[in-house]
Amino acid sequence: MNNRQKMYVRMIVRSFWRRLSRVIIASLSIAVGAATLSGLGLIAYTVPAQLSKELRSYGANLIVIPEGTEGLSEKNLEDADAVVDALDRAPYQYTNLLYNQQGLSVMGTILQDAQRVRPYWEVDGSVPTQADEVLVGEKVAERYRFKVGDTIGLTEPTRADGTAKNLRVAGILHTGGPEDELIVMGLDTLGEFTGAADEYNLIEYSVNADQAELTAIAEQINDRDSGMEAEVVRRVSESESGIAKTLQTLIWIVSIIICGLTLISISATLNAVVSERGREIGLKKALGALSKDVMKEFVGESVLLGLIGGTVGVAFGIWLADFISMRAFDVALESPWWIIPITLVFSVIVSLVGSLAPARRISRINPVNVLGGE
Amino acid sequence: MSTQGEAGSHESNVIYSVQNVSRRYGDLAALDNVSLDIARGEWLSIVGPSGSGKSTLMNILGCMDSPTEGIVLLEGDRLDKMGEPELANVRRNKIGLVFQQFHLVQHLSALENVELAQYYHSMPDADEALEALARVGMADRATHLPRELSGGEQQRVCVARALINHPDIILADEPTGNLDEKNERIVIDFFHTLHDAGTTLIVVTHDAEVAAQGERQIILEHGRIAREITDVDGTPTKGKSAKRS
Repeated sequence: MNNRQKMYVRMIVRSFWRRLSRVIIASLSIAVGAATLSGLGLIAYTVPAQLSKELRSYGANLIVIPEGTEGLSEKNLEDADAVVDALDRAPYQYTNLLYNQQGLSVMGTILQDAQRVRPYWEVDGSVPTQADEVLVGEKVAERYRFKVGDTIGLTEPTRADGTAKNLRVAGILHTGGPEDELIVMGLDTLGEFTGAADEYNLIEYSVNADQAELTAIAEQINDRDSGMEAEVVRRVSESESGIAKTLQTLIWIVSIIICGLTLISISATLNAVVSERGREIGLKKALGALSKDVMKEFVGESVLLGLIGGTVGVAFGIWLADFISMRAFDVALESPWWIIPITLVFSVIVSLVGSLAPARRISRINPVNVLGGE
Repeated sequence: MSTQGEAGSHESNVIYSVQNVSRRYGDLAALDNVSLDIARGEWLSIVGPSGSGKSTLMNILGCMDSPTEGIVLLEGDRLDKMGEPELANVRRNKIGLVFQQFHLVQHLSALENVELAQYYHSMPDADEALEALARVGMADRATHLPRELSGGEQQRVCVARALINHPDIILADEPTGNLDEKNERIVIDFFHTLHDAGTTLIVVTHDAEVAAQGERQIILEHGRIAREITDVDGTPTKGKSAKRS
């Protein structure tokens, strides 16, 4: 660094110290803008992923069903699994069994997997762990007055001897959905009635993907022409996309408003600084400085201002995003490293843009004002 | 663009030629048809009551204001033909300014204030700036901020800043107006040193004693040159000068 550059830096730093209160006000404006933008930016960046996880609690967002009347085989399941990179997946088999000669709908599944895909299930009692245990849907339990611990005898309708198999009610299932009308049991238990534990009527997937990605996965499965048909559960995926889009739009609008307010604040503060320093600017011109020389110093101060405000702002912004993320999603946010340089660059740009109008005033300051007059 | 004026018609020792210059602010004429030549190396005192146009003339000579009528030639070049960069260049290279109010940058030390003039001229050089401060007896106060200096000390820093780039001309507006007798003596003695070295000195002052230091005095009244006194105290005149009209 030569003497001229050293003098330039010295002038800027000294000028900062001299006007510390103004610097603090201007830096705070930038810091508030930078904090809001980096915080909201982080939330906008992470919300869709968090939201997606949250919406998984509403159930699967991709299902696979048989193309014809035949059920899905174990091979179908493997084929579909190979295509879908799912968070959770559960296969289901449906049939009708008789209880005291009355038909009851029964669903067989891998209970632990089904609970993950359908996290909204609530069970009074316990989830079956033994082969002779079942869950009874809330409405079925009401209709037949089943209680936890009761034994119920179920019969396969086509069975000639009509011998019932006794099963113990391990829990009552509350879902608010169609499962309330079902008897739910393990696939192996149901297989003892149907004779086909590895045949399915439905596979549900919970996938961390947006609607477009889900559609692509479904098309990939359908293109295999292997007797199965994939469908996107639009209710879930659409609300996910909709909420994320609305949030992001809202964040953008707020960001633009904050950006505008920060600019106005910076511009007003720097305008005051130029007015305050009219005599100094005039003196420098009287000493032979060109307007652009003085502007260069002013721009240097603006850059420094942006860096100070940006540094404070990004630190606060990360904390803010983490705070909101914890409150809204109960998840500790992992801020990407690039938010720091992006916020600093943004702060410097805002500071520079805010200094444009005040800098233009510098060129209009006449050194004759320094000499004063009679 | 040529800025050459009527240099050919002037003697080579004329540094400033002011020709029928007026400066009007609306109906008010701060300067009214003033003409004079200032010789190279001359010490000219400009005196007159408040509102007589002294500072306006000084601002025009210092390339910080322009006349509404008439022309000013500096070393034969017309100032009115110069743009902002050329005028800034003149201020940088040829003129040193001394102000009544000192006008030091408050957040820079005495040394840095002198270096500031070097910064806009060429390259700051702390040793050279310190030497300039030493010439005005301020070397030991180099690191002090202006607020830590007395008025006399600030004026001496201002003088050091004015001479750091070795200008041909020193324009001083009431340079002793805010000084005590001791500091006034220091500044005047230093002006004599500069004058002896061939620097052109143009000093605006109210003070008759300070004015008498010059080889020539012009007395302004209502924007016009009312009188001119030459060689008032018998000091040898270094350059020839004459009122033109």
